[in-house]
Amino acid sequence: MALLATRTAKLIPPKRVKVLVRRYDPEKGESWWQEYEIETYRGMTVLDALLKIKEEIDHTLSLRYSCRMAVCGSCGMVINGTPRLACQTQVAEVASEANPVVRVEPMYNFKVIRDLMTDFTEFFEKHRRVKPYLIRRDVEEQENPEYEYKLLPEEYEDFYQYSLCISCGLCVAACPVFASDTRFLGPQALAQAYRFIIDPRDEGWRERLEIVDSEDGVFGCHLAASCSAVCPKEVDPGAAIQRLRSLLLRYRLGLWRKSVSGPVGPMEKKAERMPLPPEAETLPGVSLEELEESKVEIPVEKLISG
Amino acid sequence: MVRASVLQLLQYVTGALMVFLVSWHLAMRIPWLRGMESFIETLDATVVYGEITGFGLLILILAYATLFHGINGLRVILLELRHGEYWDRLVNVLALIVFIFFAALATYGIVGVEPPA
Amino acid sequence: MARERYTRLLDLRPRWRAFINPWLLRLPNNPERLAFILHRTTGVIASLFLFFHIISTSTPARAGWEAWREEVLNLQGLTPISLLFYIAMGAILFHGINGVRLILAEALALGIGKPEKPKPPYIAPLLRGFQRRLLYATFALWIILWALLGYIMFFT
Ligand code: SF4
Ligand code: FES
Repeated sequence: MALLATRTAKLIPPKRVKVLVRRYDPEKGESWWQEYEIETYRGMTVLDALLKIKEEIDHTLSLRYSCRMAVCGSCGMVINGTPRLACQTQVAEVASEANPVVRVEPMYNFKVIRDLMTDFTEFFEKHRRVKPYLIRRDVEEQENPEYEYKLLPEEYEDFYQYSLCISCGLCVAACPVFASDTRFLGPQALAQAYRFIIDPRDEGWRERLEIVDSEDGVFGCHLAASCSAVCPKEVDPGAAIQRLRSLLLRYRLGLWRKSVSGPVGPMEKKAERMPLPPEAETLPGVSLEELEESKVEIPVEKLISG
Repeated sequence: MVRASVLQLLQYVTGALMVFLVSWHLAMRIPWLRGMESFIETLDATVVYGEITGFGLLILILAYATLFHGINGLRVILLELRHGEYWDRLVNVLALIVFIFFAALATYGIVGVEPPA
Repeated sequence: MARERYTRLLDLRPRWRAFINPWLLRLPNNPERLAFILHRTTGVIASLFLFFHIISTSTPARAGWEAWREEVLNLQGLTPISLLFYIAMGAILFHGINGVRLILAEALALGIGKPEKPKPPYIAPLLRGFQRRLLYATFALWIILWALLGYIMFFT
Protein backbone atom coordinates (compact mmCIF):
# COMPACT_ATOMS: atom_id res chain seq x y z
CA MET A 1 0.00 0.00 0.00
CA ALA A 2 1.28 3.37 -0.91
CA LEU A 3 1.38 4.47 2.66
CA LEU A 4 4.54 6.49 2.46
CA ALA A 5 3.53 8.62 -0.45
CA THR A 6 5.65 11.74 -0.48
CA ARG A 7 2.65 14.00 -0.55
CA THR A 8 1.47 12.77 2.87
CA ALA A 9 4.41 14.52 4.47
CA LYS A 10 3.05 17.82 3.25
CA LEU A 11 -0.53 17.19 4.32
CA ILE A 12 -1.88 19.21 7.18
CA PRO A 13 -4.53 17.59 9.37
CA PRO A 14 -7.72 19.39 10.39
CA LYS A 15 -7.35 21.39 13.62
CA ARG A 16 -9.64 19.15 15.61
CA VAL A 17 -10.61 15.60 14.75
CA LYS A 18 -13.27 13.31 16.08
CA VAL A 19 -11.82 9.91 16.91
CA LEU A 20 -14.41 7.13 16.95
CA VAL A 21 -13.13 4.04 18.69
CA ARG A 22 -14.86 0.69 18.76
CA ARG A 23 -14.31 -0.45 22.30
CA TYR A 24 -14.82 -3.75 24.00
CA ASP A 25 -14.96 -4.56 27.68
CA PRO A 26 -14.28 -8.25 28.30
CA GLU A 27 -15.48 -8.10 31.92
CA LYS A 28 -18.94 -6.88 30.95
CA GLY A 29 -18.74 -8.53 27.56
CA GLU A 30 -20.06 -5.50 25.73
CA SER A 31 -18.84 -3.55 22.76
CA TRP A 32 -19.64 0.06 21.90
CA TRP A 33 -18.45 3.04 19.88
CA GLN A 34 -16.90 5.86 21.83
CA GLU A 35 -16.26 9.33 20.58
CA TYR A 36 -13.33 11.53 21.52
CA GLU A 37 -12.36 14.92 20.26
CA ILE A 38 -8.76 16.02 20.20
CA GLU A 39 -6.57 18.71 18.82
CA THR A 40 -4.08 17.67 16.23
CA TYR A 41 -0.69 18.84 15.17
CA ARG A 42 1.17 18.51 11.94
CA GLY A 43 2.65 15.05 11.46
CA MET A 44 0.37 13.42 14.04
CA THR A 45 -0.17 9.74 13.44
CA VAL A 46 -3.25 7.84 14.44
CA LEU A 47 -1.19 6.12 17.12
CA ASP A 48 -0.18 9.52 18.48
CA ALA A 49 -3.83 10.51 18.53
CA LEU A 50 -4.82 7.38 20.43
CA LEU A 51 -2.01 7.83 22.93
CA LYS A 52 -3.03 11.43 23.42
CA ILE A 53 -6.55 10.27 24.21
CA LYS A 54 -5.16 7.69 26.60
CA GLU A 55 -3.03 10.27 28.37
CA GLU A 56 -5.42 13.17 28.51
CA ILE A 57 -8.99 11.95 28.19
CA ASP A 58 -9.54 8.29 28.90
CA HIS A 59 -6.91 6.14 30.61
CA THR A 60 -8.88 2.96 30.09
CA LEU A 61 -8.39 2.89 26.35
CA SER A 62 -6.23 -0.17 25.58
CA LEU A 63 -4.10 -0.71 22.56
CA ARG A 64 -0.91 -2.50 21.65
CA TYR A 65 2.09 -0.72 20.23
CA SER A 66 5.80 -0.69 20.65
CA CYS A 67 8.16 0.76 18.09
CA ARG A 68 6.09 3.64 16.65
CA MET A 69 7.93 3.23 13.37
CA ALA A 70 6.32 0.38 11.45
CA VAL A 71 8.89 -2.17 12.51
CA CYS A 72 7.40 -4.26 15.29
CA GLY A 73 3.99 -4.91 13.75
CA SER A 74 1.99 -4.47 16.96
CA CYS A 75 -0.31 -1.61 16.11
CA GLY A 76 -2.42 -3.00 13.27
CA MET A 77 -6.01 -1.75 13.31
CA VAL A 78 -8.80 -0.92 10.94
CA ILE A 79 -8.65 2.82 10.36
CA ASN A 80 -11.54 4.34 8.42
CA GLY A 81 -12.29 0.91 7.01
CA THR A 82 -8.77 0.09 5.87
CA PRO A 83 -6.47 -2.24 7.80
CA ARG A 84 -3.33 -0.21 8.49
CA LEU A 85 -0.59 0.31 11.01
CA ALA A 86 -1.66 3.12 13.34
CA CYS A 87 1.91 4.37 13.65
CA GLN A 88 2.35 4.54 9.90
CA THR A 89 -0.90 6.36 9.19
CA GLN A 90 -1.04 10.10 9.44
CA VAL A 91 -4.24 11.65 10.73
CA ALA A 92 -4.03 13.98 7.75
CA GLU A 93 -4.17 10.98 5.43
CA VAL A 94 -7.47 9.68 6.72
CA ALA A 95 -9.24 12.79 7.96
CA SER A 96 -9.89 15.98 6.06
CA GLU A 97 -11.28 19.38 6.83
CA ALA A 98 -14.55 18.35 5.24
CA ASN A 99 -14.76 15.09 7.17
CA PRO A 100 -12.66 15.31 10.34
CA VAL A 101 -13.43 11.81 11.58
CA VAL A 102 -11.02 8.97 12.31
CA ARG A 103 -12.81 5.67 12.80
CA VAL A 104 -10.65 3.10 14.60
CA GLU A 105 -11.65 -0.54 15.01
CA PRO A 106 -9.76 -3.62 16.09
CA MET A 107 -8.60 -5.78 13.18
CA TYR A 108 -11.24 -8.03 11.64
CA ASN A 109 -10.70 -11.79 11.55
CA PHE A 110 -9.02 -11.69 14.94
CA LYS A 111 -10.61 -12.19 18.31
CA VAL A 112 -10.63 -9.01 20.37
CA ILE A 113 -9.16 -9.13 23.86
CA ARG A 114 -9.98 -5.59 24.83
CA ASP A 115 -10.65 -2.38 22.91
CA LEU A 116 -8.12 -2.34 20.08
CA MET A 117 -6.06 -5.30 21.25
CA THR A 118 -6.47 -8.49 19.28
CA ASP A 119 -5.51 -12.05 20.10
CA PHE A 120 -2.59 -13.28 18.00
CA THR A 121 -2.39 -16.79 19.45
CA GLU A 122 -3.98 -18.41 16.41
CA PHE A 123 -1.95 -16.27 14.04
CA PHE A 124 1.38 -17.26 15.54
CA GLU A 125 0.18 -20.85 15.85
CA LYS A 126 -0.36 -20.90 12.10
CA HIS A 127 2.94 -19.22 11.47
CA ARG A 128 4.61 -21.89 13.57
CA ARG A 129 2.78 -24.63 11.72
CA VAL A 130 4.59 -23.96 8.44
CA LYS A 131 7.96 -24.33 10.18
CA PRO A 132 9.38 -20.89 9.45
CA TYR A 133 13.04 -21.75 9.90
CA LEU A 134 15.79 -23.46 7.93
CA ILE A 135 15.62 -27.22 8.21
CA ARG A 136 18.77 -29.20 7.42
CA ARG A 137 19.19 -32.92 7.43
CA ASP A 138 22.61 -32.58 8.98
CA VAL A 139 21.59 -31.02 12.28
CA GLU A 140 25.05 -31.39 13.75
CA GLU A 141 26.51 -29.34 10.95
CA GLN A 142 23.73 -26.76 11.27
CA GLU A 143 24.28 -26.31 14.99
CA ASN A 144 28.07 -26.12 14.80
CA PRO A 145 28.74 -24.73 11.37
CA GLU A 146 32.20 -24.33 9.99
CA TYR A 147 31.27 -22.56 6.80
CA GLU A 148 28.28 -20.59 5.63
CA TYR A 149 25.68 -21.98 3.22
CA LYS A 150 25.88 -21.04 -0.37
CA LEU A 151 23.33 -18.50 -1.55
CA LEU A 152 23.61 -16.67 -4.83
CA PRO A 153 22.40 -13.06 -5.01
CA GLU A 154 19.77 -13.93 -7.62
CA GLU A 155 18.44 -16.76 -5.47
CA TYR A 156 18.32 -14.35 -2.58
CA GLU A 157 16.25 -11.91 -4.57
CA ASP A 158 13.63 -14.62 -5.14
CA PHE A 159 12.59 -14.55 -1.53
CA TYR A 160 14.07 -11.38 -0.07
CA GLN A 161 10.78 -9.53 -0.42
CA TYR A 162 8.86 -12.20 1.47
CA SER A 163 11.35 -12.22 4.31
CA LEU A 164 10.49 -8.62 5.17
CA CYS A 165 7.26 -9.63 6.94
CA ILE A 166 6.83 -8.07 10.39
CA SER A 167 3.87 -10.32 11.38
CA CYS A 168 1.51 -7.42 11.80
CA GLY A 169 -1.51 -9.46 10.71
CA LEU A 170 -2.97 -6.78 8.44
CA CYS A 171 -3.06 -9.20 5.52
CA VAL A 172 -5.09 -11.64 7.60
CA ALA A 173 -7.42 -8.84 8.64
CA ALA A 174 -8.06 -7.99 4.99
CA CYS A 175 -8.43 -11.57 3.72
CA PRO A 176 -12.03 -12.35 2.70
CA VAL A 177 -11.47 -16.11 2.94
CA PHE A 178 -10.12 -15.87 6.47
CA ALA A 179 -13.27 -13.95 7.37
CA SER A 180 -15.21 -17.19 7.50
CA ASP A 181 -12.62 -19.94 7.36
CA THR A 182 -10.59 -19.91 10.56
CA ARG A 183 -8.79 -23.09 9.54
CA PHE A 184 -7.25 -21.30 6.58
CA LEU A 185 -3.53 -20.81 7.18
CA GLY A 186 -3.74 -17.24 6.00
CA PRO A 187 -1.56 -15.08 3.76
CA GLN A 188 1.18 -14.47 6.27
CA ALA A 189 1.88 -18.12 7.08
CA LEU A 190 1.65 -19.18 3.44
CA ALA A 191 4.00 -16.42 2.30
CA GLN A 192 6.48 -17.55 4.95
CA ALA A 193 6.06 -21.17 3.84
CA TYR A 194 6.95 -20.11 0.30
CA ARG A 195 9.85 -18.01 1.52
CA PHE A 196 11.43 -21.08 3.13
CA ILE A 197 10.46 -23.58 0.45
CA ILE A 198 12.36 -21.76 -2.26
CA ASP A 199 15.27 -20.88 -0.03
CA PRO A 200 18.07 -22.98 -1.57
CA ARG A 201 19.58 -23.58 1.86
CA ASP A 202 16.45 -25.30 3.16
CA GLU A 203 15.92 -29.06 3.09
CA GLY A 204 12.52 -29.21 4.80
CA TRP A 205 10.54 -28.25 1.70
CA ARG A 206 8.84 -31.62 1.32
CA GLU A 207 7.36 -31.44 4.82
CA ARG A 208 6.22 -27.91 4.24
CA LEU A 209 4.62 -28.76 0.90
CA GLU A 210 2.66 -31.53 2.63
CA ILE A 211 1.45 -29.05 5.24
CA VAL A 212 0.23 -26.46 2.76
CA ASP A 213 -1.34 -29.02 0.40
CA SER A 214 -4.89 -28.81 1.68
CA GLU A 215 -8.10 -26.86 1.23
CA ASP A 216 -7.19 -24.89 4.32
CA GLY A 217 -3.66 -24.42 3.11
CA VAL A 218 -2.59 -22.92 -0.16
CA PHE A 219 -5.80 -23.90 -1.99
CA GLY A 220 -7.87 -21.78 0.37
CA CYS A 221 -6.59 -18.71 -1.44
CA HIS A 222 -8.79 -17.35 -4.23
CA LEU A 223 -6.70 -14.40 -5.33
CA ALA A 224 -8.61 -11.49 -3.87
CA ALA A 225 -5.17 -9.86 -3.49
CA SER A 226 -6.35 -7.77 -0.54
CA CYS A 227 -3.36 -8.99 1.44
CA SER A 228 -0.94 -7.47 -1.04
CA ALA A 229 -2.98 -4.29 -1.12
CA VAL A 230 -2.74 -3.66 2.63
CA CYS A 231 0.70 -5.02 3.51
CA PRO A 232 2.71 -2.14 5.02
CA LYS A 233 6.02 -3.72 4.05
CA GLU A 234 5.17 -4.53 0.43
CA VAL A 235 5.70 -8.21 1.17
CA ASP A 236 3.19 -9.19 -1.52
CA PRO A 237 1.86 -12.33 0.16
CA GLY A 238 -0.68 -12.73 -2.65
CA ALA A 239 1.99 -13.32 -5.26
CA ALA A 240 3.87 -15.62 -2.89
CA ILE A 241 0.78 -17.80 -2.50
CA GLN A 242 0.24 -18.03 -6.26
CA ARG A 243 3.88 -19.02 -6.74
CA LEU A 244 3.60 -21.56 -3.97
CA ARG A 245 0.45 -23.08 -5.45
CA SER A 246 1.88 -23.30 -8.94
CA LEU A 247 5.05 -24.82 -7.52
CA LEU A 248 3.06 -27.36 -5.52
CA LEU A 249 1.03 -28.40 -8.57
CA ARG A 250 4.20 -28.76 -10.61
CA TYR A 251 5.80 -30.76 -7.81
CA ARG A 252 2.83 -33.13 -7.69
CA LEU A 253 3.08 -33.60 -11.46
CA GLY A 254 6.77 -34.38 -11.13
CA LEU A 255 7.83 -31.23 -12.96
CA TRP A 256 9.62 -29.51 -10.11
CA ARG A 257 12.55 -30.50 -8.00
CA LYS A 258 14.48 -28.35 -5.65
CA SER A 259 18.21 -28.05 -5.85
CA VAL A 260 19.52 -27.63 -2.35
CA SER A 261 22.79 -25.87 -1.70
CA GLY A 262 25.20 -26.86 1.04
CA PRO A 263 28.05 -25.19 2.91
CA VAL A 264 30.45 -23.40 0.60
CA GLY A 265 33.60 -24.94 2.07
CA PRO A 266 36.92 -23.22 2.49
CA MET A 267 37.81 -20.44 0.11
CA GLU A 268 40.10 -21.61 -2.64
CA LYS A 269 43.77 -20.69 -2.24
CA LYS A 270 44.99 -18.26 -4.81
CA ALA A 271 47.06 -20.54 -6.98
CA GLU A 272 47.82 -18.76 -10.21
CA ARG A 273 47.70 -15.32 -11.59
CA MET A 274 44.93 -14.53 -14.00
CA PRO A 275 46.44 -14.92 -17.47
CA LEU A 276 46.63 -11.70 -19.41
CA PRO A 277 44.46 -11.47 -22.48
CA PRO A 278 46.49 -12.30 -25.62
CA GLU A 279 46.17 -8.84 -27.10
CA ALA A 280 47.61 -7.20 -24.01
CA GLU A 281 51.06 -5.67 -24.24
CA THR A 282 53.46 -5.25 -21.37
CA LEU A 283 55.10 -1.98 -20.55
CA PRO A 284 58.59 -1.55 -21.93
CA GLY A 285 61.20 -3.04 -19.63
CA VAL A 286 58.80 -5.39 -17.84
CA SER A 287 59.22 -9.09 -18.38
CA LEU A 288 56.11 -11.16 -17.88
CA GLU A 289 58.02 -14.35 -17.02
CA GLU A 290 59.91 -12.58 -14.29
CA LEU A 291 56.72 -11.21 -12.87
CA GLU A 292 55.12 -14.66 -12.83
CA GLU A 293 58.07 -16.00 -10.87
CA SER A 294 58.19 -13.20 -8.30
CA LYS A 295 56.22 -13.40 -5.06
CA VAL A 296 53.17 -11.26 -4.57
CA GLU A 297 54.11 -8.67 -2.04
CA ILE A 298 53.54 -5.04 -1.50
CA PRO A 299 56.79 -3.19 -1.11
CA VAL A 300 55.92 -1.20 1.96
CA GLU A 301 59.37 0.29 2.61
CA LYS A 302 59.56 1.57 -0.89
CA LEU A 303 56.19 3.20 -0.54
CA ILE A 304 57.24 4.91 2.65
CA SER A 305 60.64 6.04 1.48
CA GLY A 306 59.68 6.87 -2.09
CA MET B 1 -9.04 -39.23 0.79
CA VAL B 2 -8.11 -37.45 -2.36
CA ARG B 3 -5.39 -34.89 -2.04
CA ALA B 4 -6.49 -31.27 -2.25
CA SER B 5 -3.87 -30.65 -4.93
CA VAL B 6 -5.39 -33.35 -7.16
CA LEU B 7 -8.88 -31.90 -6.84
CA GLN B 8 -7.65 -28.39 -7.45
CA LEU B 9 -5.63 -29.49 -10.45
CA LEU B 10 -8.77 -31.10 -11.85
CA GLN B 11 -10.59 -27.88 -11.08
CA TYR B 12 -8.12 -25.95 -13.23
CA VAL B 13 -8.05 -28.56 -16.00
CA THR B 14 -11.84 -28.77 -16.24
CA GLY B 15 -11.94 -24.98 -16.07
CA ALA B 16 -9.58 -24.65 -19.02
CA LEU B 17 -11.50 -27.32 -20.91
CA MET B 18 -14.78 -25.55 -20.22
CA VAL B 19 -13.52 -22.26 -21.60
CA PHE B 20 -13.40 -23.93 -25.00
CA LEU B 21 -16.38 -26.23 -24.66
CA VAL B 22 -18.75 -23.62 -23.24
CA SER B 23 -17.71 -21.17 -25.95
CA TRP B 24 -18.63 -23.81 -28.50
CA HIS B 25 -21.83 -24.63 -26.63
CA LEU B 26 -22.84 -20.97 -26.66
CA ALA B 27 -21.78 -20.49 -30.26
CA MET B 28 -24.26 -23.20 -31.24
CA ARG B 29 -27.00 -20.80 -30.17
CA ILE B 30 -25.82 -17.89 -32.29
CA PRO B 31 -28.29 -17.86 -35.18
CA TRP B 32 -26.03 -16.23 -37.78
CA LEU B 33 -23.35 -18.86 -37.41
CA ARG B 34 -25.89 -21.52 -38.25
CA GLY B 35 -27.63 -19.74 -41.07
CA MET B 36 -30.82 -19.10 -39.13
CA GLU B 37 -32.96 -16.12 -38.37
CA SER B 38 -33.54 -16.15 -34.64
CA PHE B 39 -32.32 -17.54 -31.35
CA ILE B 40 -35.48 -19.60 -30.85
CA GLU B 41 -34.98 -21.35 -34.18
CA THR B 42 -31.69 -22.79 -32.96
CA LEU B 43 -33.64 -24.54 -30.22
CA ASP B 44 -35.90 -26.28 -32.69
CA ALA B 45 -36.38 -30.00 -32.04
CA THR B 46 -34.71 -31.23 -35.24
CA VAL B 47 -31.75 -28.87 -34.80
CA VAL B 48 -31.22 -29.95 -31.21
CA TYR B 49 -31.59 -33.59 -32.10
CA GLY B 50 -28.97 -33.19 -34.80
CA GLU B 51 -26.63 -31.67 -32.23
CA ILE B 52 -27.22 -34.45 -29.72
CA THR B 53 -26.56 -37.20 -32.22
CA GLY B 54 -23.69 -35.39 -33.92
CA PHE B 55 -21.77 -34.17 -30.86
CA GLY B 56 -23.13 -36.42 -28.11
CA LEU B 57 -19.73 -37.28 -26.69
CA LEU B 58 -18.56 -33.69 -26.66
CA ILE B 59 -21.70 -32.59 -24.84
CA LEU B 60 -21.24 -35.35 -22.30
CA ILE B 61 -17.63 -34.38 -21.66
CA LEU B 62 -18.81 -30.82 -21.20
CA ALA B 63 -21.50 -31.96 -18.77
CA TYR B 64 -19.11 -34.03 -16.67
CA ALA B 65 -16.42 -31.35 -16.60
CA THR B 66 -18.92 -28.65 -15.69
CA LEU B 67 -20.54 -30.79 -13.02
CA PHE B 68 -17.20 -31.54 -11.43
CA HIS B 69 -16.11 -27.93 -11.58
CA GLY B 70 -19.38 -26.58 -10.22
CA ILE B 71 -19.89 -29.10 -7.47
CA ASN B 72 -16.30 -28.93 -6.31
CA GLY B 73 -16.60 -25.16 -6.24
CA LEU B 74 -19.76 -25.30 -4.14
CA ARG B 75 -18.11 -27.85 -1.88
CA VAL B 76 -15.15 -25.58 -1.26
CA ILE B 77 -17.43 -22.67 -0.40
CA LEU B 78 -19.52 -24.79 1.94
CA LEU B 79 -16.44 -26.13 3.68
CA GLU B 80 -15.27 -22.58 4.24
CA LEU B 81 -18.57 -21.41 5.66
CA ARG B 82 -18.78 -23.88 8.50
CA HIS B 83 -16.48 -26.27 10.24
CA GLY B 84 -16.97 -29.51 12.03
CA GLU B 85 -16.34 -33.17 11.44
CA TYR B 86 -19.93 -34.03 10.56
CA TRP B 87 -20.41 -30.99 8.41
CA ASP B 88 -17.28 -31.77 6.40
CA ARG B 89 -18.33 -35.35 5.87
CA LEU B 90 -21.89 -34.33 4.98
CA VAL B 91 -20.69 -31.84 2.39
CA ASN B 92 -18.29 -34.31 0.82
CA VAL B 93 -20.84 -37.11 0.61
CA LEU B 94 -23.53 -34.78 -0.66
CA ALA B 95 -21.18 -33.49 -3.36
CA LEU B 96 -20.52 -37.03 -4.52
CA ILE B 97 -24.22 -37.95 -4.56
CA VAL B 98 -25.21 -34.80 -6.43
CA PHE B 99 -22.43 -35.40 -8.96
CA ILE B 100 -23.50 -38.99 -9.61
CA PHE B 101 -27.18 -38.05 -9.86
CA PHE B 102 -26.71 -35.25 -12.35
CA ALA B 103 -24.05 -37.11 -14.33
CA ALA B 104 -26.49 -39.99 -14.72
CA LEU B 105 -29.28 -37.61 -15.71
CA ALA B 106 -27.05 -35.91 -18.27
CA THR B 107 -25.99 -39.25 -19.71
CA TYR B 108 -29.60 -40.35 -19.98
CA GLY B 109 -30.51 -37.04 -21.59
CA ILE B 110 -28.03 -37.72 -24.38
CA VAL B 111 -28.25 -41.49 -24.72
CA GLY B 112 -31.96 -41.98 -24.17
CA VAL B 113 -33.17 -39.45 -26.72
CA GLU B 114 -35.35 -40.49 -29.67
CA PRO B 115 -35.74 -38.76 -33.04
CA PRO B 116 -38.45 -36.08 -33.02
CA ALA B 117 -41.68 -36.94 -34.74
CA MET C 1 -7.70 -14.86 37.06
CA ALA C 2 -5.90 -13.50 34.05
CA ARG C 3 -6.84 -16.60 32.10
CA GLU C 4 -10.44 -16.27 33.04
CA ARG C 5 -10.61 -12.74 31.72
CA TYR C 6 -8.80 -13.86 28.63
CA THR C 7 -11.41 -16.37 27.63
CA ARG C 8 -14.13 -13.85 26.86
CA LEU C 9 -13.04 -12.67 23.47
CA LEU C 10 -15.09 -10.65 21.04
CA ASP C 11 -15.43 -12.14 17.59
CA LEU C 12 -15.84 -9.50 14.91
CA ARG C 13 -15.29 -11.78 11.92
CA PRO C 14 -17.58 -10.77 9.05
CA ARG C 15 -17.94 -14.43 7.94
CA TRP C 16 -19.87 -14.97 4.70
CA ARG C 17 -20.51 -11.26 4.37
CA ALA C 18 -16.98 -11.01 3.06
CA PHE C 19 -18.08 -13.15 0.10
CA ILE C 20 -20.81 -10.82 -1.06
CA ASN C 21 -20.09 -7.38 0.32
CA PRO C 22 -17.52 -5.39 -1.66
CA TRP C 23 -17.82 -2.47 0.77
CA LEU C 24 -16.83 -4.40 3.85
CA LEU C 25 -13.37 -2.84 3.85
CA ARG C 26 -12.11 0.21 2.04
CA LEU C 27 -9.20 -1.12 0.08
CA PRO C 28 -7.60 1.20 -2.42
CA ASN C 29 -6.16 -0.26 -5.60
CA ASN C 30 -7.78 -3.65 -5.22
CA PRO C 31 -10.29 -4.51 -7.98
CA GLU C 32 -9.18 -8.14 -7.59
CA ARG C 33 -11.35 -8.31 -4.50
CA LEU C 34 -14.38 -7.24 -6.51
CA ALA C 35 -13.46 -9.89 -9.07
CA PHE C 36 -13.21 -12.46 -6.28
CA ILE C 37 -16.66 -11.59 -4.98
CA LEU C 38 -18.13 -11.66 -8.47
CA HIS C 39 -16.35 -14.92 -9.25
CA ARG C 40 -17.88 -16.52 -6.15
CA THR C 41 -21.41 -15.29 -6.71
CA THR C 42 -21.38 -15.99 -10.44
CA GLY C 43 -19.95 -19.44 -9.69
CA VAL C 44 -22.83 -20.22 -7.35
CA ILE C 45 -25.37 -18.88 -9.85
CA ALA C 46 -23.74 -20.84 -12.67
CA SER C 47 -23.73 -24.13 -10.79
CA LEU C 48 -27.36 -23.75 -9.76
CA PHE C 49 -28.16 -22.94 -13.36
CA LEU C 50 -26.24 -26.02 -14.41
CA PHE C 51 -28.50 -28.24 -12.32
CA PHE C 52 -31.63 -26.72 -13.85
CA HIS C 53 -30.06 -26.87 -17.27
CA ILE C 54 -29.34 -30.58 -17.03
CA ILE C 55 -32.86 -31.24 -15.79
CA SER C 56 -34.42 -29.15 -18.54
CA THR C 57 -32.25 -30.44 -21.39
CA SER C 58 -32.98 -34.01 -20.47
CA THR C 59 -36.66 -33.30 -21.21
CA PRO C 60 -36.57 -34.79 -24.73
CA ALA C 61 -35.26 -38.05 -23.32
CA ARG C 62 -37.55 -38.01 -20.30
CA ALA C 63 -40.80 -36.64 -21.65
CA GLY C 64 -40.49 -36.49 -25.41
CA TRP C 65 -40.09 -33.65 -27.89
CA GLU C 66 -43.55 -32.17 -27.37
CA ALA C 67 -42.59 -31.21 -23.81
CA TRP C 68 -39.35 -29.77 -25.13
CA ARG C 69 -41.19 -27.53 -27.59
CA GLU C 70 -43.39 -26.22 -24.79
CA GLU C 71 -40.34 -25.55 -22.65
CA VAL C 72 -38.55 -23.65 -25.37
CA LEU C 73 -41.55 -21.33 -25.74
CA ASN C 74 -40.65 -19.97 -22.29
CA LEU C 75 -37.48 -18.54 -23.75
CA GLN C 76 -39.19 -16.66 -26.53
CA GLY C 77 -39.26 -12.92 -25.93
CA LEU C 78 -39.09 -11.28 -22.53
CA THR C 79 -40.46 -13.70 -19.96
CA PRO C 80 -39.43 -14.30 -16.35
CA ILE C 81 -37.71 -17.52 -17.40
CA SER C 82 -35.80 -15.88 -20.20
CA LEU C 83 -34.72 -13.07 -17.87
CA LEU C 84 -33.39 -15.59 -15.36
CA PHE C 85 -31.71 -17.38 -18.23
CA TYR C 86 -30.11 -14.14 -19.34
CA ILE C 87 -28.80 -13.46 -15.82
CA ALA C 88 -27.34 -16.96 -15.66
CA MET C 89 -25.65 -16.36 -19.01
CA GLY C 90 -24.05 -13.20 -17.65
CA ALA C 91 -22.81 -15.12 -14.65
CA ILE C 92 -21.32 -17.83 -16.84
CA LEU C 93 -19.65 -15.28 -19.11
CA PHE C 94 -17.98 -13.46 -16.23
CA HIS C 95 -16.96 -16.68 -14.53
CA GLY C 96 -15.42 -17.97 -17.73
CA ILE C 97 -13.53 -14.85 -18.74
CA ASN C 98 -12.28 -14.18 -15.23
CA GLY C 99 -11.48 -17.89 -14.96
CA VAL C 100 -8.89 -17.58 -17.71
CA ARG C 101 -7.10 -14.92 -15.69
CA LEU C 102 -7.33 -17.02 -12.55
CA ILE C 103 -5.93 -20.13 -14.23
CA LEU C 104 -3.02 -18.12 -15.57
CA ALA C 105 -2.29 -16.47 -12.23
CA GLU C 106 -3.08 -19.30 -9.83
CA ALA C 107 -2.09 -22.47 -11.60
CA LEU C 108 0.73 -21.17 -13.77
CA ALA C 109 1.83 -18.17 -11.67
CA LEU C 110 1.79 -15.96 -14.76
CA GLY C 111 1.15 -12.23 -14.80
CA ILE C 112 1.76 -11.72 -11.08
CA GLY C 113 4.95 -9.72 -11.36
CA LYS C 114 8.43 -10.54 -10.15
CA PRO C 115 9.65 -10.40 -6.56
CA GLU C 116 11.55 -7.17 -6.08
CA LYS C 117 13.21 -5.05 -3.48
CA PRO C 118 10.46 -2.78 -2.16
CA LYS C 119 10.74 0.73 -3.49
CA PRO C 120 8.47 3.76 -3.52
CA PRO C 121 5.57 4.04 -4.05
CA TYR C 122 5.38 0.59 -2.47
CA ILE C 123 2.75 -1.04 -4.61
CA ALA C 124 3.04 -4.82 -4.62
CA PRO C 125 4.14 -6.41 -7.92
CA LEU C 126 0.99 -8.54 -7.93
CA LEU C 127 -1.10 -5.40 -8.22
CA ARG C 128 0.98 -4.09 -11.10
CA GLY C 129 1.31 -7.37 -12.98
CA PHE C 130 -0.21 -8.37 -16.26
CA GLN C 131 -3.16 -9.91 -14.44
CA ARG C 132 -4.34 -6.42 -13.56
CA ARG C 133 -4.62 -5.54 -17.23
CA LEU C 134 -6.33 -8.86 -17.85
CA LEU C 135 -8.77 -7.96 -15.09
CA TYR C 136 -9.75 -4.71 -16.77
CA ALA C 137 -10.05 -6.58 -20.05
CA THR C 138 -12.28 -9.09 -18.28
CA PHE C 139 -14.73 -6.44 -17.17
CA ALA C 140 -14.79 -4.83 -20.61
CA LEU C 141 -15.21 -8.10 -22.49
CA TRP C 142 -17.88 -9.24 -20.07
CA ILE C 143 -20.05 -6.20 -20.62
CA ILE C 144 -19.65 -6.38 -24.39
CA LEU C 145 -20.39 -10.10 -24.67
CA TRP C 146 -23.30 -9.93 -22.28
CA ALA C 147 -24.86 -7.09 -24.24
CA LEU C 148 -24.34 -9.04 -27.46
CA LEU C 149 -26.01 -12.05 -25.90
CA GLY C 150 -28.93 -9.90 -24.88
CA TYR C 151 -29.28 -8.75 -28.45
CA ILE C 152 -29.26 -12.34 -29.69
CA MET C 153 -31.72 -13.56 -27.09
CA PHE C 154 -34.24 -10.76 -27.15
CA PHE C 155 -33.93 -9.10 -30.54
CA THR C 156 -33.59 -11.94 -33.01
S1 SF4 D 1 2.74 -10.17 5.02
FE1 SF4 D 1 2.66 -7.92 5.30
S2 SF4 D 1 0.58 -7.55 6.10
FE2 SF4 D 1 0.99 -9.73 6.36
S3 SF4 D 1 1.81 -9.95 8.44
FE3 SF4 D 1 3.58 -9.73 7.06
S4 SF4 D 1 4.04 -7.54 7.01
FE4 SF4 D 1 1.97 -7.75 7.89
S1 FES E 1 4.09 0.49 16.86
FE1 FES E 1 5.49 -0.91 15.92
S2 FES E 1 4.51 -1.18 14.00
FE2 FES E 1 3.29 0.42 14.83
